[in-house]
Amino acid sequence: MSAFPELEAALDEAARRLYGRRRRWLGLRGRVPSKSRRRAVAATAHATATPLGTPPPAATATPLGTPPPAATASPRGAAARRGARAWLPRAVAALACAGAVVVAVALVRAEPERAAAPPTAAAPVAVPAHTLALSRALAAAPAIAHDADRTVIPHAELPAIAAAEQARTPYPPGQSDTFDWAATPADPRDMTSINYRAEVTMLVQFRAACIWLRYWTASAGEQRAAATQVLTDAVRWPALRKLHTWSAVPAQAAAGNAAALAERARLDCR
Amino acid sequence: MEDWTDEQLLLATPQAPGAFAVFYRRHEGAVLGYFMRRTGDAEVAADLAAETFAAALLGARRYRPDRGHALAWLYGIARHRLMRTLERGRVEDRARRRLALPVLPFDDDLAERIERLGAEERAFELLERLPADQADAVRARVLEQRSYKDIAASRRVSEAVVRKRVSRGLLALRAFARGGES
Repeated sequence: MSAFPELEAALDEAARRLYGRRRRWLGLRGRVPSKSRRRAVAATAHATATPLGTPPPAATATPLGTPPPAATASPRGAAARRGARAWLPRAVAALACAGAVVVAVALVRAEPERAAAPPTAAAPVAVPAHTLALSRALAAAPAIAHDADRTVIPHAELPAIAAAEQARTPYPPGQSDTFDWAATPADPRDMTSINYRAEVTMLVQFRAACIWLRYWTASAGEQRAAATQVLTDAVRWPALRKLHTWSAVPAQAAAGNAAALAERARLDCR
Repeated sequence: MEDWTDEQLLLATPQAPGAFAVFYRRHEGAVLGYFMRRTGDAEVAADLAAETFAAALLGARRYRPDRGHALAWLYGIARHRLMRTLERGRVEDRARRRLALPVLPFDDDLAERIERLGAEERAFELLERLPADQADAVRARVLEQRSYKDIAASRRVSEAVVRKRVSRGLLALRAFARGGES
């Protein structure tokens, strides 16, 4: 127990006020943030904070590589005629891109609402037995040894290592983790980079637990019962084993306490 | 998060603010004890600890593990706050104001807890001044409350040797505590 719980609570509240609002841009996977902003984001938390089990808006948000209209909209002489011909399609492209960004932002902003969607939103596909077996196996897995292997993973190998980790991790039917491992910073000196196997393991499991949390919220009947079972295991998965903030999740899931689980998803899984 | 390193917790704080609470809980006792030992006033120690952790929270986004361990970074902030307090004669509250932290209640119970942490800090400081074998024996016997037999077996020495180390260590600690040796 904390010796000064009032200070702990005040700092926790302040931390959420101070940093909570900084997360939204993370959902725009196709949009590369400014350099300074990229540096401000630790990839570890980036991975845990992005919307989970959600179609990435990257496909719709592709403003990169499109010349800004201003660069072609000030022609003179012959260049002006060529520029004028080029202007219209580029402007249309730019507008389309801007629209895509707006759509992407709307998608990210809509995330909490979709998380609270009624139970009918879940696909009525049963959770396979092997998924539940994976969950149970993970609950019995040894602790993540953060200090055991400090060999920096070559960046190019990160997606494959994550994929292998994901293969050992249960996901709801039809869902997967869409995190773009290759897009994380390659330079291990960058504080936002992901460098160690233990970090990958931890992130994969934590993100999977978040996906199950959302699946539980959006499911009913047998699907919800299976999700409850997985969430009960999940608090014993190595990544969440010592996470006291998740310790109440199994009881809340068993009691059908959607508000509590939605709040947990809001706090930890945005 | 509970098994994350301090560095991981600080790095994660800007995106997972709950990480800072884990970092706080891990070091709260040591920081409160540190300030209690140096100021001798539980209320000042509480203010300094609050200001230190508030500054750490504000600075978490700038923390770079390649420049040093998180704990050293935290104690750097703590030392700085302590020095400024000694210079100015009052605890500054800039970081707390920036975070709009409320004025926290301070009562006798909290004062007692902080004073106890100060005493523990003092005990550990004194323990560090003992020869390694004596410090080890005192720690095992007094703090961990293990039997002489158990300690002797784990250290591969006789029980008599362990008893002698504990006895000498406690005598030395008593002398340190009385100020007989600095």
